[in-house]
Amino acid sequence: MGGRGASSGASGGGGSIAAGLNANKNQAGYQKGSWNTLQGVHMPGWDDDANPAIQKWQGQTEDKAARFLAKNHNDYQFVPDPNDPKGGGTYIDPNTGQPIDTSGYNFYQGDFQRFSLATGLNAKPVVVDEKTFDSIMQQTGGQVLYRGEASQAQCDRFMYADMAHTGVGSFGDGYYFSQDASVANQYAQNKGGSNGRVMKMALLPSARITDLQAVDAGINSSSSRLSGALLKQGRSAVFRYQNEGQAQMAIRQGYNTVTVSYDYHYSVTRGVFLVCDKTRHKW
Amino acid sequence: MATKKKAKGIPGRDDDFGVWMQEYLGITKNPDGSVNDPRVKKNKNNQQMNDIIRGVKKKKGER
Repeated sequence: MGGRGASSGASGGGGSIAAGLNANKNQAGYQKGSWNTLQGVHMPGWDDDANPAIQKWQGQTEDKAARFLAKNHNDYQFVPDPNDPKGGGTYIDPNTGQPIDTSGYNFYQGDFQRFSLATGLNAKPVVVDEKTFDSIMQQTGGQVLYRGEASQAQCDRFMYADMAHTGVGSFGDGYYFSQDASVANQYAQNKGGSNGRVMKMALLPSARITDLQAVDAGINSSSSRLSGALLKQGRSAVFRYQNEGQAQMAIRQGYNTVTVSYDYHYSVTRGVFLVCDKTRHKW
Repeated sequence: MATKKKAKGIPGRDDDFGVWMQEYLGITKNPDGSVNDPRVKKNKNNQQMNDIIRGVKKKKGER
């Protein structure tokens, strides 16, 4: 297991925050039982199963990291769908010149999607039936989390699609979630009407959690070249509020999950989630 | 505790849960970089939030 975060945790002023944030301690945080229910089921590791591109991103110099981001932006061409009024489209494989995803799904344009394509950060979540999910939650005392979607098709894409649609976010790109079911329910209703669906999920033990301020501190202590490149990544997203490339920096720091407020969080990969395959309009 | 404001919804697609939540919950960023959540007087520290989303229960007497 390599990468900056494996040895030193969050950098750039997050020392006290980073204290105690290591995978073993996180795992030990569960109160009872274990994850043995999933024995034999592959759970992606915190470093995306020693993904060499992720390890390279974590270990390379700031100048090289900035160049890597710029290269991604140029390499992965985005072709908007002229029939999509919201700007959706598809990404082109730089090697073949063909669309990477051929399902007809329209992706948002954003550099975190390009980052994921370039690094192969695309692990799928562990999906189980409701009985198994509830049993694991009962055994481990894990917190049930919720994510709203506008349709079952969106949930299916999150759970099963080969190419993840990396969400866009206000404080970094990724898959946002909350432990407040009412928030996810409201979103599903607001965006999808009667078609809206809510997934219930939990973090796998491989989740490595940091907070927004530690990530921002890392950006602020980076060279102007890298922080500028990260900012450009964040600003490339369709919705960008305070998106300054925090997802990319969190990964560089060795984390895959970021908490923004007490019930407002995101993960940068689907691979850290245990997901119940049964969705509901309302939990 | 502040009430959740009625989110107008941001014109966009259906998978912008994080953006929608930010507006719905009224979470903003202060000029100093700290996060302002109108629902809480003081944000929890990272370890507390870490424990919350993992479901870690406090032991008796633990603060």
